[in-house]
Amino acid sequence: MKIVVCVKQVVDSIVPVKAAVPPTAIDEDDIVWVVNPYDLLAMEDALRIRERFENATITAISMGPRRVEKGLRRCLALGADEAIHILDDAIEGLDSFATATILAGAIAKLGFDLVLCGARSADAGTSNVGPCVAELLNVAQVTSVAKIALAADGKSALVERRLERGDREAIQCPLPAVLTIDVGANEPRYPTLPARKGAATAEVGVLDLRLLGLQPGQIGSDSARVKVKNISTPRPKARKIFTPDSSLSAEERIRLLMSGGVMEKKGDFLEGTASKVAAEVSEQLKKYL
Amino acid sequence: MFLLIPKEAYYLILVVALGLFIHRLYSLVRLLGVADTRAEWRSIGRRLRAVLVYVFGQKRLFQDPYPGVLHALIFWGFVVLLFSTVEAFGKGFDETFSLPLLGGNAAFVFLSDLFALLVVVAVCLSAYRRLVSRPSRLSLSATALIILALIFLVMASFFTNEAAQLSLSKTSSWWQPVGMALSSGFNAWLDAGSLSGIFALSWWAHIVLVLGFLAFLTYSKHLHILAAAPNIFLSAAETHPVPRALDIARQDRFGASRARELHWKDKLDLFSCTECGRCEERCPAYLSGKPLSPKQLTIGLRKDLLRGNGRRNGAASLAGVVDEEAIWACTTCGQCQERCPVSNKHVSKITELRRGLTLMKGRFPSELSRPFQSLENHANPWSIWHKTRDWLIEENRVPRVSEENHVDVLVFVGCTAAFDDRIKKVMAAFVRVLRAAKVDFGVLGAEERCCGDPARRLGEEFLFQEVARQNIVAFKRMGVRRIVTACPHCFHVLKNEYPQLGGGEYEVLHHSQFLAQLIQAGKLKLGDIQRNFTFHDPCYLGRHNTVYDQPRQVIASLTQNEMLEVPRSRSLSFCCGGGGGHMWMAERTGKRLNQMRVQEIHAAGAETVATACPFCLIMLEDGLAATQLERKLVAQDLAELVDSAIRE
Repeated sequence: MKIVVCVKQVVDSIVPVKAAVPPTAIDEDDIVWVVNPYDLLAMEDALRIRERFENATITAISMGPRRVEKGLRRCLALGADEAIHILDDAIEGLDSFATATILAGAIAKLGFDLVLCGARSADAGTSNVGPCVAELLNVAQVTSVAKIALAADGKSALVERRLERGDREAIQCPLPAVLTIDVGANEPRYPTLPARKGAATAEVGVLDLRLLGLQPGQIGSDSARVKVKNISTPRPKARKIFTPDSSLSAEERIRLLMSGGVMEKKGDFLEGTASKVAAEVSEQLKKYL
Repeated sequence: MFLLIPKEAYYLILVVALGLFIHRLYSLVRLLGVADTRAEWRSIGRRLRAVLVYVFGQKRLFQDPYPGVLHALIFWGFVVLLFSTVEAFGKGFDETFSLPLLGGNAAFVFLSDLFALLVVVAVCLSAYRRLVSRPSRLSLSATALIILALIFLVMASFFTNEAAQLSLSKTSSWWQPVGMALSSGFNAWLDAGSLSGIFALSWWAHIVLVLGFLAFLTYSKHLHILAAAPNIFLSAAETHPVPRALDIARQDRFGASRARELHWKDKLDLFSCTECGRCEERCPAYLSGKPLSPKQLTIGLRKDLLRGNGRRNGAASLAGVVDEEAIWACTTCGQCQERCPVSNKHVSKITELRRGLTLMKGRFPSELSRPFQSLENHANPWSIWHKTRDWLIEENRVPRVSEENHVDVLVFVGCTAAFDDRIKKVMAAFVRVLRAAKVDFGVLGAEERCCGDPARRLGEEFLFQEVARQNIVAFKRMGVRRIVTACPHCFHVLKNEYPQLGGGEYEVLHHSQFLAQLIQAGKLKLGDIQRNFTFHDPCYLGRHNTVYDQPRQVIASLTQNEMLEVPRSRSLSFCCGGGGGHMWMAERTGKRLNQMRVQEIHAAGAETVATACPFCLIMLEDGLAATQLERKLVAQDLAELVDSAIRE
C-alpha cells in the first residue's frame, strides 16, 4: 500500500501579514512558515493506516522554495518513509491548477494507492488542489474526510465526510483515490526527539520540473489561469446595530439578535442534486465569460 | 562456655549471614548503576556538614516534633548500642573480649543502658502511633511493625543478657540501672544453672536477631538505615537543584520511561525513602485531590526498579505502579524536597519521567501542543507574534539593548510581561520605578526569547535548549553583565540553569532583590501606604532560591503597618498552581490550588497580598474572582506597590 501525502507550508496565522510591493503577493519578510495543519491531519491518518497495514509506505511530497524542506523534515520526523521536494525556479506565483498539475505529475511518476492531503490550506483556503489532482490522475476522490476505514484487502475505503453542523456522510470509495482530510477524531502526533534528530540528517529527494517532464512554459505565472491582481488589508465595514421590534416577544427578539437580524436574500436559489445544480451554475457563469 | 556449639559453627553462621547480607547489598548497588561520580566529591565540607546536621542532628525530623523525638531516640540509640553489639559479637570469638577504651567504661555502660531503655520506650510509643493514632501520612505497614517488634526484641535480649551476666557475676553496678533492676528479679527467682542457660540463650537471641535485622532491612524500606547517610552526603552540594543536563547531540535516549533509566542518584533516593509521608502531607497536588502523591511515586518507582524487566515478575512499563496523570499533576513547587528527612529530590524524577514521555513518546496532555508549537515557531508559549515584545521600546520608550548600545542593567522582561495585558502593567510600573531611581537599563525587545522554563518543566528539553541558546548568544553579543527580571521562573533559569549551556557570566537578580538594594541605597523616596499587607512567597523565588527576606524588606519600606504572615509562608508557602508548566494545563480533578490559596490568605486577615511572580499574580487574581473575594482582598506585584508609593 503506497500512500502519498501532499504537504504545503502556510503562513502562521498569528503573524500579521501585509502586501508586498507590488501588491500581487504578500511581503515574506518576518513571515513564520508552518506545515498546513490540515496536511498534518492527513499525515496522522497516513501514519495510522500504516500501523494497520504493515507493508504500507508513506511518501511526503511538497513543492516550493528551499524553506519547504523544513516541513518535509517535519513529516520525516513524524514517521514518513521518504520525502520529495519539487524545487524549480519556475515555480512561482502558481495558481491551484498549476500546483495540482505539478503534483499530479510527480505522484503519477511515484505510483500510489492512496493520496492524502489537507482539505484546504490555512492561508489561501481554496480547497482546489486535492480535487484537481484527483481529476488529473483520473481516480476517485472524496473531500473533507473526517474518518477513514480501509478495507482489509486495501482495495477500498469507507470514509466519513464532514457536512455542516456536525452531520456526516458515509461514502464507499474504491482505491486508488485522493482523500482530502478535514478535522476529525485524530489529533496529529508530536514528533519524538530521536525522530527529529534522524529527520534533520535524512535525505530529501529533490525533483525539478524537467524531471517531471514539464516545460517551464507550461507552468509558471505567465500561463496561470488565475492571477492575483491586488492584495490589500480589508477595512472593517461599519456595522449597523440591529434593534428588534419591541412588540415582539422576548424569545423572538433574542432569536433575531442571535441570527444577526433578518435580511432579504437576493438572487436565485437553486435546488436539486449536485450535478443538476453544478450544471445550472456553470450555465449562469458562462454569461460572465 | 555459653556458645553451646563449636566455635567453628559460630564462624560459619556469621559468614553465611553476613555473606548473604553483603550479596544482597551488592545486587542493590548494582541496580543503581553508579557511574561518573566526579561531581560528587566537590564541596566535601558542605557535604560532611550536611551529614552532621541531617543525619546525626536529625534536623528535618524535628519539624514534626513528637515523631521527630521518637525517631531521634531510636537513631541515637542505634549509634550508641552499635558498640555494645560489636562487643557481643566479639564475645562469640573470645569470652573475655571487650572493646578497647569503651569496654567496661562506666559512662559507656551507663549510656548503653539508658539508650536501650529509651529505644524501648520510643518503639512502644511508635507502635502505638502506627496502630492506634494512625496519622494520615503513614500507611499501615506490616514491615514497619515487624521492624519495631525486631528492635524491641533486640533490646529485650540485650537487657536479659545484661541482667543474667550481672546476676552470674554477682556484680552490683550503679551504672546499669535497668540491668540491675532485672538482675534483682533474676536473683530472686532463678538459680545459677538457669541463669547460665538464660545468659547463653539471650546472647544467641541477640546475635540471631541482629543478623536477622540486617537481612530484613535489605528487603524493606529500612534500607534507609544504610542509604540515607550517603544520600544526604550526595544531595548536599546542590543548593538549588536543577534538572540534569541533556546532551541532545550525543544521546539517543532521553529522560526515563522506567525506574532503571533514572540517574543513579535518583535511584539511591528510592532506596533511601522511608515511606514517612512528610512529602505527601504538604504536596499541593495531593492536598487538592490530584492523583499525585510524591510518596507513592517514590514507592512505585522503587517497586519498578526491584521487579526487573521481564523474567519472573517483570513488567514492560510503569503502568500499574506509576500513574501517568500523577506525573503531570506536579507543579514542581519543591515542598516535598524541602521536607524530606533523607534529602530525596522528587522533582528530579518528575522531570525525567516527563522527558521520557514528551521526548521519547510525544505523549503529554493535549492542550500542551499549542504552547509547544508556539515555542518552536515564535519563541514564546503564548501564541503571540514575537515582535509584540517591542511594545516597551515603542510605547514606553525603553532603550533597546544591542551590540552598539550596552547598558548597566538588562531587564529580562519574560514572556508573560511581554504578552499578558495584566502583567504588562506590572512591567510598566517597574520601568517607572527604574527611571525614578535613575538606573541605566534597557531591554532586548524582539531579540528576547522565552527563558525556556515552561519547556523544561514539561520535559521538552529540545525546545528549552533552542530558546536558551539563542538568549545566551544574545547576552554575549550585547555584553550583558547584569540581569534583573521580575519573574522568578526566568530568574531561576537564567541564574541556575543557563550555566549548563554555557551561559552564566552575568549576575542575575530578581526584581525584589534589586528593589531592596535600590531602597537601601536611598535611590527611591517612598511614602507610606496605609494598608495591611501580606506576602505570598513564590515557589521559584522562595523555596527554590531561598529569597525570603528581600521582598519583605521592600514591603517594610512601603508601610508603617506590621506585615502579616500567612500560616503557610516562607519555605512552607503553598503553591499558587501556576508552576511546572501548569499555566498552560487544564486543572481537571480536585479543588483548584489558586482558590485554596486565596482563601487561606484571606483568612489570615490581609487586605493586600503582595506577589513577586507573574504566574502567582494571575493565578491569585483568578482565584479571587472565582471565590468572589475581589472586593475583600487585592493582589498586586511588588513593582506596582513601589511605583504607587514613590514620592517626588
